[in-house]
Amino acid sequence: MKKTINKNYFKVGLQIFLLIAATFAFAYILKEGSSEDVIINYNENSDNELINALAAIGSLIFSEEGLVSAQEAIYTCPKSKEGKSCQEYPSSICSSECAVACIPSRRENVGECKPGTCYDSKEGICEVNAPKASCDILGGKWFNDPKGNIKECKRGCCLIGDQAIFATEQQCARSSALLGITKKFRPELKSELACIGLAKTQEEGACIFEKENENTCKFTKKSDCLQIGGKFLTGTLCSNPDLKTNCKPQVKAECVQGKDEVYWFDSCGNRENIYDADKIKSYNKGNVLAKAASCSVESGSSFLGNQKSCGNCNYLRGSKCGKKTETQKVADNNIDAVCRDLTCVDRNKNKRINGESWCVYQSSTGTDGKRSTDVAGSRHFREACVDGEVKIEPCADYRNEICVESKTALENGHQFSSAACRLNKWQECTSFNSFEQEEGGEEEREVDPRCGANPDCFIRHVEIGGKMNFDMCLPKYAPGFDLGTGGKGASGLCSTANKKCRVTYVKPKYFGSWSCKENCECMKDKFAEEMHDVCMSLGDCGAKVNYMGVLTKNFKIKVSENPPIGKKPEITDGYLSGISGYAKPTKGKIIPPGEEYLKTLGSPTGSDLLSISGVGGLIAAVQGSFPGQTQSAPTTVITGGTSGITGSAVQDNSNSITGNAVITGMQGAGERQTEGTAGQQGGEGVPVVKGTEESTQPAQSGNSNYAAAGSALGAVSNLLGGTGGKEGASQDEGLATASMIVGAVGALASAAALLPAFAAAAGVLGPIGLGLAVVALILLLLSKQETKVITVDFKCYAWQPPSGGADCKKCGSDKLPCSKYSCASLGQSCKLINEGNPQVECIDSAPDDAGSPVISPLYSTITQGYNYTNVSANGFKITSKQDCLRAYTPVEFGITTNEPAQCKFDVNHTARFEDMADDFGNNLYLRNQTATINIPSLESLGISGFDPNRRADYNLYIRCQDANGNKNVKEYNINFCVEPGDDITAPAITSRVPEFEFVKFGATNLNASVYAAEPVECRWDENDVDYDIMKNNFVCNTGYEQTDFNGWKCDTTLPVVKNESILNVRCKDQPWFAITNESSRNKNTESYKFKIKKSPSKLRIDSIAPDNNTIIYSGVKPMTVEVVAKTAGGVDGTATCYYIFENNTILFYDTIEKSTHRNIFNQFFPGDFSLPIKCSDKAGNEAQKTTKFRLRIDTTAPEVTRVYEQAGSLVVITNENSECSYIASAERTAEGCDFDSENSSLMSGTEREHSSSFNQGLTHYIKCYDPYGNKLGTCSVIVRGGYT
Amino acid sequence: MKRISNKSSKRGQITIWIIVALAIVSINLILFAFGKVPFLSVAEETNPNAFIEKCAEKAVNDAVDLLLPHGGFLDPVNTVEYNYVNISYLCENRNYYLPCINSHPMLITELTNEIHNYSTPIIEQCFSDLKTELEKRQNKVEYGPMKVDIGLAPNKIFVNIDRKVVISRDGTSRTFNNFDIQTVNPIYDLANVAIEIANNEANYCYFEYVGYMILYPRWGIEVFSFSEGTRIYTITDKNSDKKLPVAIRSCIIPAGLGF
Repeated sequence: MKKTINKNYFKVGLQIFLLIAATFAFAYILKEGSSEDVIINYNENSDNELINALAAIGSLIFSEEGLVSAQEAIYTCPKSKEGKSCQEYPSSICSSECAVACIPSRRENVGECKPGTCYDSKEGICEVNAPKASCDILGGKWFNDPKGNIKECKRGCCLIGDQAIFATEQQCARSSALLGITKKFRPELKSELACIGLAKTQEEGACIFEKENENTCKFTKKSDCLQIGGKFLTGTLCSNPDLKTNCKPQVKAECVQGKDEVYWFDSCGNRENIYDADKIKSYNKGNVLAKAASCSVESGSSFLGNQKSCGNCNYLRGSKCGKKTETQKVADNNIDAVCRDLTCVDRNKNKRINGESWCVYQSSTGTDGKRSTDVAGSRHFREACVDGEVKIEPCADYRNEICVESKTALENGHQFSSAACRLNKWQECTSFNSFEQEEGGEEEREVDPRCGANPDCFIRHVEIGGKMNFDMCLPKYAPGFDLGTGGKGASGLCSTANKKCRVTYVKPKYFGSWSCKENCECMKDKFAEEMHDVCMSLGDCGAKVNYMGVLTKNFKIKVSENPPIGKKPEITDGYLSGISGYAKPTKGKIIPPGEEYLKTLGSPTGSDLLSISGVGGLIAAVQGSFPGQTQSAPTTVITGGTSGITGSAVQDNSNSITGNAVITGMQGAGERQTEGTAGQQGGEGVPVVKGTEESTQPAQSGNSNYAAAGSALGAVSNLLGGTGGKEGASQDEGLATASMIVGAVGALASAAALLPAFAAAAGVLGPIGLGLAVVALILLLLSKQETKVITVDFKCYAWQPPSGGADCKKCGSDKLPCSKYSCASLGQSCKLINEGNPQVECIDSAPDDAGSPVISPLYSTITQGYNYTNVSANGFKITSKQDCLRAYTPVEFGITTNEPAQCKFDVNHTARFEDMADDFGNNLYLRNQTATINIPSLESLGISGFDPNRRADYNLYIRCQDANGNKNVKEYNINFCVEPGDDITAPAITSRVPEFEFVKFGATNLNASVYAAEPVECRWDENDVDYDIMKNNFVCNTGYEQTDFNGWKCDTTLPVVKNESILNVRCKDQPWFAITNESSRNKNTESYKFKIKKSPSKLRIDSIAPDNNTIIYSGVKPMTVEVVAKTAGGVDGTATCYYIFENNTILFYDTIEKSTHRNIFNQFFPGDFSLPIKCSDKAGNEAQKTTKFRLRIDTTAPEVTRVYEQAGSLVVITNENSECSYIASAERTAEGCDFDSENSSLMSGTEREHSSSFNQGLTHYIKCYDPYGNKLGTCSVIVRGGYT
Repeated sequence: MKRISNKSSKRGQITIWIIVALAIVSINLILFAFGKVPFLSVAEETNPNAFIEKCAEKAVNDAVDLLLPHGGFLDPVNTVEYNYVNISYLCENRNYYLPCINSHPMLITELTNEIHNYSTPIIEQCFSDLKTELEKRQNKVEYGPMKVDIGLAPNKIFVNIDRKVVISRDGTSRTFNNFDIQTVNPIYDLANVAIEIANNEANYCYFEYVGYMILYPRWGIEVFSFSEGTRIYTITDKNSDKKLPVAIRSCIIPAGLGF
C-alpha cells in the first residue's frame, strides 16, 4: 500500500513536474513568439490625420454650414487679392488670400457681406444672393432677403413692340422709355409661358402709306404702323386686291427671323401667310390666315408628313423653317425653305425629339443588388436634342452629380425623356449608420430608416454568418475620389469597410484534430467578398475597373498565419470577373428622379417652380397634342423641377441636418477600426498574432480564484496575442473547464498550485483523497485543449489607377468629354492638361521614368528627442539620447521618396515588393509615409532580468514602388532597439468620457469611461481611499495593443445620486504582472476626481414664432419665413435645436449653443405648416414642440367695391387694405391709365377707404395697390362726373 | 500750223483728262487708304450730327465687342481662363456646398459704366477730329462741356451726348446741343440672360439651359464644366452671333474628397 502510495506520489510528482515544466516551456514559447511584437501603428500619426480627415469629410459634407473646413474657424474676406467679393476662407489661409483684413465671422454676420437681394431701381433688375456692399457701392437698393422674395422683383409681362418680356415693372418702364414707347405692363400675367404666348397673339395687318406717288404697304403691327403714319388694316395682307397697292402676292416663300414657319412673301417683301402648296387656300383672299387654320405639316403619326406641301412648322413639335436639303424638299422647286426636322439620333441610334434630354452613363451605374457598380473615372452625362443637334452636358465630376431621367409616353407612342444632372446625395448614406449603446446594454448597429427613403442610398445586408450579420447604409452611386491629391480623405472613407476578425481553432491536447470554434465564417471567401461589396460601394475603393475596363485590386486580406484546417479567405476570380463587367453601361438602365425624397427636404416641387425648367413638360405636352388627340400629362415637369429641387436641396440641406449625424457616424466608423466589429475587439494594425497556448497557467495561480487567474492569463495573452474582451473569454474556455474540475475536488485546487502545498494536501486527505486528486488530474489533462487564434484582417483601400500612362490617350475615345478625373483613372501618370482650352489633352506625364524610388528619412517627422542616425542609402537607425527607444513612448518616424510611391515593409527579409506583408496603412502613392512605433517595455515582451545591457533589437525592411511600376529591389532597413529600464511611474488618467460634467435631468446612473496613458486596471470609490480597498472596478482594455486614439480605456457605470458628486478613481499599471509580479506594479496614490452634476431642470422650448396658426401673407412665392425658437431649463438653457420636416431632422441654421434658434425658410410655398422642433442640450436633456402656421399668397389686385362723392371728396372703397393713386384729366382716353404711382397723386387712406378731392369736370383715373405689390395693369376704376 | 495747233490742243485736252483721271484715282485711293479715318463730307460739314453719330456708334460697338468675351468687362479681375480668354466670375462661392454670391449685382449698371468709360474718350476724340476738320474749312468751332449718357435697352444701345457745339463761319453760326445715337446691339439682352443664369444658380444651384433655349430659341447656350466645379455658360445671340461667356461657381462639392 505504501509502495503504491509512493508510486502514486511519484506519478503525481511527475505530473506536477511536467505541469510546471510545461509552464516554463510555454512561457519560453511566448517569449520567443513575442520577439517581433513591436506594435506599429502604421501611420499612427496618419491615422490621427485619417480620423481628422474623416471628421473633416463629415464636417465638410455635412457641416450645418457647409464649411470649407470643420477643423478651423471660417473667416470672411470682404475683398480678396484676386478681386473676389465676400468669400469665406478657413482662418489659416484667410489673411493670405485677402486684400483687406479678414473678419472672424461667417458671411451672414458681416454687415457689408450679408447676402440679400440687390435691386437696381433704375434698370428694375433684381439680382439675388448679393453682398450688401457690392450692391450699395453701385447705387443699388439692397433688401435683406437673399432669394429675391420682394415685391420689387415681382415680374409680369412687358410688351415692347412685338416682343413680350417677362420682367419687373421698372424694367418694363425703363426699356419702354428708352425705346420711346408707352409702357405696357401686365402684372396679372405671372407666367413666363403665358407672357411669351401673348407676344405671338399681337395683331398684325397691312399698313398702307404713299411712297413716290404710289400706294404701297408694309405688313406690320398696329403700333408700328401708327408710328410711320400709315393706315392700318387689321388682318389684311398687303397684296389684298382691295387695297390697290403695288404689292403682288406669293412671289416667294422664305423663313422669317424669330418665327418657326415658312411664309409666303409678296413682291414688296412683306410677309404673307404660312406657305401652302395650295396657294389659293394659303392666300385666304388676301386676309391673314391664322396658324391654326393653316395647313398641317403633320400627317397621321408623322409629324412632317406634309413637309413638301406645307410650311406650318412647329418648333415645340420638332420642326422649324430652314434651308431645304437633298432629303427635305418642297413641292415648288423655286422655294428654298422647308420645315426642317429638328429631331436627333442619339448614340444608340434612337430618335430623339427636339427638346428631349436623356442620360448617358459611362459605365454601369447604381447597384446590382449587392454593391454599387459605378466604376472609377466614370461620369454621368446628360445629352439633349436642341435644334437637331445633340448637346452633351457632363454632370459634375467625381459622380458628385448623377443623371436622372423620367419618361413620358406620348400619344404617338414615343417615350419623351427629360433628364437632369442632380446632386448625388451619397454623403448622407454613411450618416444613416449608427452604432448605439444603450445604458448597460450591448452595442447595436442601426440603419436609419431614412436610408431607404434616400434614392441615392441602399441598405446592404451583410450576411457572413454567426455574429457577422448586419445592415449598412451605403451609397447607391459610389462617389469618385480625386486621385491626384494624395487621397488620404479617400483612404479614410474606404477604411470604414475595414474589418478585423479573430477566428478561434481548438484541438484536444492529446487526442483529436483541429476544429474551428469561433468566427469560423471569417475564414470563408464569403467574408472577404461581402466586406468587399461594402468596400467598393463606399466610393472608389477596393478592386474596381476604370471606365476602360482595367482592374486594379486595392484591398488586403491579411491572415496572421495559415489556418490549421481549411484555407485562407480570398476574393475569387469569378467575383473579380463580375466586377470587370461593370465597365460597360447597362443598356436601357436609367436613374429615376427621386423627386419624392427631394421634395421632403423642403424644396419646391417642379410644378411649384413654374419656371423655364419645366419646359420639358411643356414640350412633352405639346408633343402629345397631335391633332385630335388629348395632351398627355406633363409629368416631365417633375424632371425640370428636379433640377431646381436639386439645387435647393443642396443649399437647404448643406447647412442643415446631415452634419452631426454623419460626423457621429464617421467617427463611430473610425472607432470601429480600432475596436473591431460585431463583438470582435482588437487593435488596428497589429502585425503579429500569437499561436498556440496551453491552459496550464491556472495551476500557477495557487488559489481558488480561477476566474482571476483566467483573466490574468487572458491579460497576458492579450498583450502578446492581441486578443481581448469576449475573445479572451472564449480563448480561455479550457481554463474555465479546468476551473470547474478543480472546484470539484475542493482543496486540491490549491494543491495544484504549488508542489509543497500539494504534498501537504495529500498528506491531509490520505489515499482516497489522493486517488480523487489523480482522477481529477487525469480529467484535467484530458480536458486540455490547444487553442489557436488567427486574425483575418480585411482592409479596404482607396482605388488606385493602373501604373504607367499607356492608356492616357484613350480618354475621350468613347466620344464623351475627358475630364481630370477620367484621365487620372487611366494610369498613375495620366494627367489632364489645358482644361478649358481647345488643346485639352490627357497625357502621360512621366513616359521615360524607369528608376525606382529613392528612400531616405523624413527629417521633418521624428518625435522630439529622437534622431535618425547611421543614415545611408541602405537605411537608418532611430535612436534616442540613450541610443535605444524608451518603453511606452510612441515614436513617430517617416520616410520620404524622391517621387510619389507606394511603400511596404516587413519585419522579415523578403524577395520582392509584392511579398512584403505590411504597408503604411494605405496604398497611396505618396512622397512621405509616416508611422508611429509604440514601444513596449522589455518586461512586457518577456525580456526581464537585471542585466543592464539587455535590449531588444528590431529591423523593418522597406521597399517602394513608383507610379510607373518601378520597384526597389534592395530592402531599405530601419533599425531601433528598446531601452532597458523598469516602469516605476504611476499611471496617469488623461481624459474622461463624457467630458461634460452635467448629466440628464432625472438620470440615476451614467455610463462613464476614463482613459490612461498605458494599460491599467482601475477602480473607483466614493471615498478617497487606497486603490486596493476601493470597492468598484472598471472594465479596462488591459492588452497593450488595445489602445485607441485617447489611450487605454476603462468603462463603468457610475451612480447619479446627488446634485453634485465627486467619485475617486485610481489605477494600477502593468496588468500583465497581476499574478506573477504584483509588487512591481505602480498605482495611483492620488485619486482622479470624476465630477458629476445633475441637470437642475428639464429642458424646455419656451416659445416658437410663428405659432398658433398665425397666417402669414406674401405677394410673391416662394415665401420667406423666419422661425425662431427659444429654449430654457436643462443645464443652462442652451441647446441645439432641429426642426423636423417630413421625417428629416434638420439643424437650425443659427444654433450654436444659444438659447435662441433661428432659421430662415425662403422656399416655402403657400399652405398650412406643422413644424416639429426638437432641442437637446449637452447633458442629453431633450424637449420637443410643434409650431403651426399658415402661409397664404395674395396675388390678386385690390378691387374697388364702391365709389361715391362725399362733401366734395371722392371716396373709393376697396376690398382689401391698399393704397390708391390717381390722375385727373379733362380727356377721357384709353391711355389715361398709363401712369405710375410716381407721377400721380396719392389718395388718403391706407386701409379700405381712400379719398381725394373731386372735380366733377375731370376724369379721374384711379389705380389701387395692395401691400404685396398687387395691382392691375390698367385702372382699378375710372370716375367722371359721378359716373364710373 | 493750224493742224499742229489742233494737235497740240488735243494733246492738251488729253493731258487735262489724264490729270483729272489721275486726280480722281488718287482721291479714291486716298479715300480707300484712309477710309477708317472719319471723313467729313460736305453734308457732314453742315450737319456734324452724322459724324458724331457714326463715330460714337462705332465707339460703343467696339466697347461691347471688347468687353463681351471677358464676361462683360474690359479689364476683368477675378477671372478664370477658358479658351485662352480670361472670363470674369459673375457669381461665385469659393466655399463648398453653398450657392454662389453675386459678384456683380448691378450688372447692367456696370456694363453701362464700362461702355461709358471706354467710349467717352473716343467720343471726345470724335469731337476733336470734327473740330480739326471743320477748322480746316475755315469754320470756327466752340465746344461746351460734354456729358455722355449710355442707356441699354432690348437690342439697342442708346447714347446721349449732351454738348453745346457752336460752328461759326462768315458771321453766321449754328448751335447743336444734343446728339442722340442708337445702335442695334444685343448686349442688354445678353446681360439679362446672364443675370437669369446667375440668379438661378444663386437660388437653385442650377440653370436649365436646354429648357431656356427651347423657350427662347434666340439664344444658344453652351456649358463647360471645369473639374473644380466652375461652369462657363456661353450665351450666343443667334441673330447677331455675339457671344457672352460668364463664369459661375456655385454649390460645389469637393473634388472627390481631395485631401
